[in-house]
Amino acid sequence: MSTTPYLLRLAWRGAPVLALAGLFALIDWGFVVPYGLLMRAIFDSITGETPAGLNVWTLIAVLTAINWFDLVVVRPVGGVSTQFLQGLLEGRVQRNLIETLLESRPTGAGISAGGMLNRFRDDVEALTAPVLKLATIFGVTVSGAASIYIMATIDPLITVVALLPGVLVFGFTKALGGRIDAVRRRTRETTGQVSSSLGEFLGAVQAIQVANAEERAVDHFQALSAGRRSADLKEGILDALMRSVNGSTVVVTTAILLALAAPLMRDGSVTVGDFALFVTMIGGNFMVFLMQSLGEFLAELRRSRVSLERLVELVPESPPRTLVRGGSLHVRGPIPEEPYPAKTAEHRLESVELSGLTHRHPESGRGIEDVSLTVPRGSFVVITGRIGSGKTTLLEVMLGLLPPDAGEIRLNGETVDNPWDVFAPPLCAYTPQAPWLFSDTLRANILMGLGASDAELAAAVRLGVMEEDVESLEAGLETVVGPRGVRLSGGQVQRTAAARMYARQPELLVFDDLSSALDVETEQRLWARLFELPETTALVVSHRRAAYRRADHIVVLKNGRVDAEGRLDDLLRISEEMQRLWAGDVQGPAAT
Amino acid sequence: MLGSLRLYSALQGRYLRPYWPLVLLLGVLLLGMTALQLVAPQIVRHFIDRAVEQEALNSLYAAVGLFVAAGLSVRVLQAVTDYLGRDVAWRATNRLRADLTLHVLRLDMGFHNARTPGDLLEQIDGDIERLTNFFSQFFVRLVGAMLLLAGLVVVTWLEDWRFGLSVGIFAGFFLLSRMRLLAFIVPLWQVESQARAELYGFLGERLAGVRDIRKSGAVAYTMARFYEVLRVRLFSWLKAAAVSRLAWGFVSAFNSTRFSVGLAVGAYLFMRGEITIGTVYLIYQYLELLWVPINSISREFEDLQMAGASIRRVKELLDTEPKVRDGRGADLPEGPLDVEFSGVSFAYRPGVTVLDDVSFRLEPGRSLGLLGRTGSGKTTMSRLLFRFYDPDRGEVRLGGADLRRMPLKALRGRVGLVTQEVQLFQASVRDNLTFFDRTVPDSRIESTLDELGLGPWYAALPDGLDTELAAGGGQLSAGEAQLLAFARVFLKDPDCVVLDEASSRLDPATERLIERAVTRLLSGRTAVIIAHRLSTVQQLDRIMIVQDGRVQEHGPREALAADPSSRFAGLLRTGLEEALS
Repeated sequence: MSTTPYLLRLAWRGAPVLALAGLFALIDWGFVVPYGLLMRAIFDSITGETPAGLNVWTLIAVLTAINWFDLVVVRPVGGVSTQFLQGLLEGRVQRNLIETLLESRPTGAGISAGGMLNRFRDDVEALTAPVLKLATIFGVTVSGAASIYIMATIDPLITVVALLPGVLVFGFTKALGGRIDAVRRRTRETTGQVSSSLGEFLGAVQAIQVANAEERAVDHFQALSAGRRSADLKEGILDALMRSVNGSTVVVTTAILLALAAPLMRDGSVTVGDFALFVTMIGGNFMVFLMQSLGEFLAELRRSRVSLERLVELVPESPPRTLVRGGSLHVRGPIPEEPYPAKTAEHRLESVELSGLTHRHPESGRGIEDVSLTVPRGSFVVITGRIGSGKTTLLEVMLGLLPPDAGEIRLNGETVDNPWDVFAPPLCAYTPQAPWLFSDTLRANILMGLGASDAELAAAVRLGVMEEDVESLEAGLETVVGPRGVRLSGGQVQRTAAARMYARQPELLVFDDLSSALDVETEQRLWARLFELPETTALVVSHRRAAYRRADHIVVLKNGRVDAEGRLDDLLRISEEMQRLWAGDVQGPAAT
Repeated sequence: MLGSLRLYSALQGRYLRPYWPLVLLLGVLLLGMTALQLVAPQIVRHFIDRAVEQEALNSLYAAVGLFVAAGLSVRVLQAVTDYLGRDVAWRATNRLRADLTLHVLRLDMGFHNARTPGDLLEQIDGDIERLTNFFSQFFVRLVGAMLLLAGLVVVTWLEDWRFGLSVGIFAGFFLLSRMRLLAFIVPLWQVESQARAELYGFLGERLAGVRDIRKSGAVAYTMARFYEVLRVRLFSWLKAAAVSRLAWGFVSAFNSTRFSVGLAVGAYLFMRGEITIGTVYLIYQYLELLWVPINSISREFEDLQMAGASIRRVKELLDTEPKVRDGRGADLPEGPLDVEFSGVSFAYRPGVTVLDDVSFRLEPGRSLGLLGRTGSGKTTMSRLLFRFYDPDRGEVRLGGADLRRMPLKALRGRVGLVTQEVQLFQASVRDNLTFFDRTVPDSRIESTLDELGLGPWYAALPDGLDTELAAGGGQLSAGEAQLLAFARVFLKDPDCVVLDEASSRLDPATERLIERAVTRLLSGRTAVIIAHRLSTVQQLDRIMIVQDGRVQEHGPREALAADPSSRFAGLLRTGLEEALS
């Protein structure tokens, strides 16, 4: 995939800052011209080659002034604008990515959240890097051309020969580039292994101590560390090679200059001043720098191509161009707060019908097969079955988290093509088996931008059977929870998610299996409170008696198919599977 | 900074000593580099002066040849020292990492409960990484740079004392101003890195919670929060960059003035006929070279300053003593062991008593079911039995001996534990089951899996025992993970087991398999079971009901069950599950 159109679009989005950075890079590098000329004038003036003109002290003063201006004004402005540009471009791509991810159906793509974050950081940086180089390359090229012109007027041969090593560096960088990338990848990989194994051990201290396995765990860790060492050393060899080749180029260039200048200096056709000019212009190594920058630029382009692909993998269902789309980053001014979508008459739910839904997990081949069920308004429908019978899969297909291989979802009689968008608040909300809380207050975690009154919030907390927990927390609803806050138990997390769901007052409530973290009594209370609500429609996965007893309709899944359905009494009579689930002693091989 | 330096030398002594020949070699190479760097400009001066004096070309070319040889040698030496330094650094820090990890893994649970694994990971891997430089090159580079600096002052002084003095003054001035600068800039970059961490922390959490955000209708809200953290990040970055670049610009501008001064002094002396034009050029080149040691010295000190906190944290961690110390008593007798608590009281925090004067004895080979609500102290009792903590009062005895009087290894070698939460590693199935013990024969692992009903699961593994498990157990179901935990204990074959029974997480089919495993586990072993299910309780010899850290009821199961006034009988009537939640 060619990155050029995307990079150009990015450059265009940051055009004003990029132009500023380019201008200042040009001035910065352009100073090599007056600098070289001044050096020549100074040395010629000292040696008496050019008695006329400004005196030595004035020349040195001018040189100093230029230097100060360059270092105190030009270079800082150029550098800061490049850095700001980097922030803007990375921020833009990250914004586009997170926005797209939130909007589109999760594809999973088998990437962990950690892996995704890695791409958000490293791949976004790699994607945008070539754009940042443009300013430097522009500045170096233009000022380099001017220097070459001036040197050529003094001695064309010396100029050409002295420039050659720079070109060689370019070839060398290019040749080594692919190798360096491969080695870097390996280093990153081994680093990941070391830190994730260490993290696991530190999270399992108790198990390790019980197993008397402290030394053995450390041995394993050391083996991984040794792998990282050797990977990093390989990278070190290449780095050292690159650096010494670059450094040697300067040496060789200067030597060539000396050798070529020797006869000419003897006969006076090249003055000491000319020599100083050459050394300043070439030894000031713009050519080496240009070649290096170009080499790096090519390597960065290569890396940015890989990164673009890795970023597109995150949002496979959107056109790649989404990554570089426009729209304000709200860097200045108030950040617009979109109001929470209001529930209107058209959100009224009459019925949800699933017919012939089929989904097979690509790897295991398990899933659901031809499942049909209807959830009419005001009903409490329970899906049950053993582990692996497809209960969660069914919910996830309905909610649009998984694509159906076959079948249809109908809402109020109309076919739903985009359940991911439709089965969301204000129509529907969902408490997953393992809900996610963010590092924020409990209140913010429940509301998530919802403008609810304190009374409404309290009601939602009570419906989620979370009120006693809230009381027991020192800061109550203001307690910071989530990964960087107070650690809640699995049941508390689920009930917080339930409160979050209730706060939205959706038409349809969907609960995935709560029994994994809720004890019998709490689950019972939760259902009891649910039934206090008027006209509530709920679709629930459970294998608890409390849920069975209240169900208007139970769907028993077995191996992904509907085994039986109906009311509890009937099912207990006709369905062997239901009898087993009721008795809680299903025998058979472990679900795998 | 001096404190850091002292700690640094203590650590360095311990971890660099084994590599002293490499370190010595590094030092020699650096000396060579210094000398060559000082020589190269002399060659150029020689060249210019001879060229201006119309010397024979051959001698000029010889000078060029020498110049190339010196210059290239410096590069080669540079590459070799870089490589060697990196190697030494990795060897030393890997050893330090391993030592620190082992130390931390041995610390008591009181320590571990006070910290998150993430913080510890950051200390062991992150802090040590920041110390890498100190283990390879800090000393060597610092000495090398100081040598070069001294060399420059001496060589220029020999040319003319005025040169030498200017070089010395510049070096001093520059070093000072750069250190000042740093104290000014570092906090700004700390703010920036905080904001950066904030941004990526925000993104990481939202990426993990896409489903929750979307299904809560909170996309717009989340994006508004994103713009907030992005803005903070952007502007903290801009501020840090602007201030540090501007300040740096001033420092380097001052620094570059040395060229002007050098040129002016050179020109003056040349015009008075005191030095040759080659010498003017020589001074100029030395002034350029001056940058190298100054930069190097200040950078090493910057590193030291920034790493000071890391050094202190690492040292502190290494110096943390475990509260639970190894006993020196004899090993335990063979065969099943009896378990005894006598007058045991314990509190995690002073004032919050968790166990209050608990006493009981469990005969060898017998099983005890612990019942009680969450927070009643059941789990704490099992923790004391493993000596994750020591009791505040009373004694815990195994095989008649106080736990504090036996080696931890001996204790933990004889007692096995199965918890509800199964911790699996990103390693092969074999390593996961044996805890990296390579002496366990595969056949034993296979037969254990078979007996636990994991045969079909094992047969489906693509690479058998070498199959790598994904992070956190990945593709395993909760039931499978639980059975693997049993497999671990069977492979360990302890004489005493503690089982924290999984509550209601499992589906009935898997529960059945696990019950079978429990039955097998109980035979011929002393067992303490934190029970959640009636079916388990009915296999046990004795029952103990704990409430608020005290033994409420304790006796043989059958006797308690037969006594209608006992709490146990009451529990049996109402259904265990509901009463224990």
